[in-house]
Amino acid sequence: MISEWIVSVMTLIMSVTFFVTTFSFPRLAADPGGLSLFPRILCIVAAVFSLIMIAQLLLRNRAGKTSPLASLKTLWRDIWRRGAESDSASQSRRMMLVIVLSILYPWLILRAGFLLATAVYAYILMRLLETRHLPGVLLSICLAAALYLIFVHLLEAYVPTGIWLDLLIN
Amino acid sequence: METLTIAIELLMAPQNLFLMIAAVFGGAMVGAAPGLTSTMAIGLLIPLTFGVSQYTAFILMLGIYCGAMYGGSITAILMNVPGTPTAAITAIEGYRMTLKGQGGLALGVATLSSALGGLLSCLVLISGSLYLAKVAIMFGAPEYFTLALFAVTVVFSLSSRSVVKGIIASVIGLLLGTIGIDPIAQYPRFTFGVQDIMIGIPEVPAVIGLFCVAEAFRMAENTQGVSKMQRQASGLSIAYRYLPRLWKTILKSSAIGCVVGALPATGAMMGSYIAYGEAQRTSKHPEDFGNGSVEGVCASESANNAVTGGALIPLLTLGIPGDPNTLMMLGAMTVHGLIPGPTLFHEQAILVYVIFGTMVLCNLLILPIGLMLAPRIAKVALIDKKYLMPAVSVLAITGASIGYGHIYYFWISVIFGIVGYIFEKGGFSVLAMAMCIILGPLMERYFRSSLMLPDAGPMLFFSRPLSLLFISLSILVIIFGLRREFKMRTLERQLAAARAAKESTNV
Repeated sequence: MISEWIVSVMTLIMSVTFFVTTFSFPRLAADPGGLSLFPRILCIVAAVFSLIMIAQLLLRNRAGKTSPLASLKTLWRDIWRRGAESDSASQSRRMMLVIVLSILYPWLILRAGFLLATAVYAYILMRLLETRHLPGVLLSICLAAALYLIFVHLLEAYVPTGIWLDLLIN
Repeated sequence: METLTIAIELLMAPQNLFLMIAAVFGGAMVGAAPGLTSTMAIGLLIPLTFGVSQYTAFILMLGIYCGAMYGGSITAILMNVPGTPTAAITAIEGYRMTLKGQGGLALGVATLSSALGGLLSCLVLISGSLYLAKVAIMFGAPEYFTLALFAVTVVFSLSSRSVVKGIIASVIGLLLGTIGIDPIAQYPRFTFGVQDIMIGIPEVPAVIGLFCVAEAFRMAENTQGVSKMQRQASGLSIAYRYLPRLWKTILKSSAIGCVVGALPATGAMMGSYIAYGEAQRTSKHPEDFGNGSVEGVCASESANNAVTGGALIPLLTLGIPGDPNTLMMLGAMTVHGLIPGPTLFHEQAILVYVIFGTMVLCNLLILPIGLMLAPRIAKVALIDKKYLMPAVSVLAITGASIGYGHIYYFWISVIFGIVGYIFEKGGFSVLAMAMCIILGPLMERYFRSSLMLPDAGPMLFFSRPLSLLFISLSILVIIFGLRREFKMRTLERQLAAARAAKESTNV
C-alpha cells in the first residue's frame, strides 16, 4: 500500500520536474524531434497514469481499506519499537537497517577502502541475520579477501584503498 | 564455412569445455537454491566476464542460463521447494510423484524433458534467428522504433497484474534512459548540475541493482532456510522408457516454450504454465494431473527449457530481450562492445555460431549432470540464507561497478536496489522498468532518426506497412492486457464475496 503511494507520488513529481526542465533544452533545425520531444511525451504519459494510480488509491482508501498514513504509522512504530515484538516488526526493522547499511557501504568503501568496508558491511549484515559472532567474523573476512583477490588479480580492476592510508602517510 | 570451423575450435578448446561444464553444473546449483535465480547468477557473473573474451563470456552465461532452468526442478521434485519460480508448476506433479515413491522417475523425466526441450529450442533458435536476421535487414528507423514500442507494450501489459502499474514502471524506465549527455546534440539532460549524472544511468549496474540488490534485500526479510527433508530418488535411469509415451507432449510443450520465450517479458513461468494446461487438456489421463502426473512434469520442464532458445531469437536478431536472463545478456553485450541485430550475424558470425553451439552442448550436458548428480545438487537448498544474503549483497553492489573504477556506479546499484524492492512491494513490474532503461536510448534514437527522414511527420509510423503492423499489434496487446486484468479482478471480487458469504453463514 505505502509502496504504491511512494511510486505514484514520486512518478508525478519526476514527470512534472522533467517536463518543466525540457523547456531549457536547445533546439536544432537538423533534429526535428529534438532533445525535448521524446521526454515530453513520456512526462505527459507518466503524469496522466500516476494521477490515475493516485485516484485508484484514494478510491480504495475510501472503500475502507488501509490508509497510507496508517501504513506509514505502523511501519514507523515497527522500526522503533523494542522488546516483545511481532515477526513483521522485527522484519521491518531489519529491512530498514539493511537498506541504511547498503547506502552507507559505498561511502565506507571510499573512506576505509574496499577490504575493510566489505568485511565490516558483511559482518554487520550477518549479525543482523542472527549469525553467531565467530562464524560471522570468519566468513566476512573470507568473503572480503576472496572478492579483493578476484577483483585485483583476475579482473585487474582498481579497488579503492580508502583515505586512512593517506592520512597515516601524511 | 571458415567461421563455423573457428567456432567449433573455440567450443572444443579444453578451457572453454571445462568452463561450460562448470557453468551448467553451477547453473543447476543456482537453480536448485531457493532465493537464487538464473537472472541473479548471470547478473553477478557479468563483472567476472570483463577479463575474458566475448566467446568465453557467452559460454559461461548460457551455461548458467540452461543449467538454472533445469536445476529448479530438482528441489521442486524432491523437496516441494521450487528453486526458481519457473519450477513451481513442476513441483505440483513432481513432489506428488516423490511422495508415491517415484521421485527418481520424476527427476529422470524432468532431466530428459529439459534436455530435449532445450535441444528442440536450439533448432528453432538456429533456423529462426538466421531467417529473422535476413528480414531485419529491411527494417529502417521507423520499423525499429515501432518494434521497440511493441516490445514495451508486451512488457507492461503482461509482466504486471495491473496495466496502469506496468505503464508507470515502463515510462519511468524510459525517462531514466534520457538522463545524461544527449548523444546527438551533446547537451546534458536532467543532470540538475550534478557532474556525475552527465554519464547517464549506466544500464548494467542499474539492472543488477533492480534484480540482484533488491533480491538481497528480500532475502534479509525472510532468512529461514529449507528444513524439508530430502526424499529418496531411485529409479532415475528408467525414465527413458517413458519417452515413446511422452514425445508428443515434449514436442508440443517445446513449441509453446519457444513461442512464449520469443515474446518479450513472458518468460519460462508462463511457458510452463501454458504447456501444463495444454498437456492436461489433451491428455488421455487428465485425472492424473494434480496427483503426480508424469506428463505434467514433462510438459512443464520441456517448456521452461525450450524458452531459452526462443528468448535468444529476438535478442540476437533485433536486440530485444525475451526474458530477464536475456536482458542481463544484453547488458553484457553492451559491456563487451557488441551491438545485437542483423549486423551481428555479419560482423560477429563466429560469436553467433559459438552461441548456437553452446546452447546445443549445454542442453546435452544437462543429461549426464542431471542423471548422475541431481540428488546431490538438491542439498544446495539446505544452505542458510543468512550466509548467502551478505555475499549476494556485496557482489551485487560492487561486482557490476568495480570495473568502471568510479564510486557513482556503486551508488547506482544501491539506489536501483531500493527502487526494485519498493517496486516489487507495490506490484510494479521491475522487468518492465529494467527493459525500458535498456531500450529507452535506442527507442529515442530511432524516433528522432525517423523524424529526420525526408517528408517525415507524425503519420510516418502509420504509412509504412511494418510500422503499422507493430502499432496494431501493440494496441491488440494492450486490449488483451486490460481484458485479462478485468477478468482477474472480477474473479477476485467473486471469490471475496463467496468467502464473505461463507463466513456469515458460519457465524
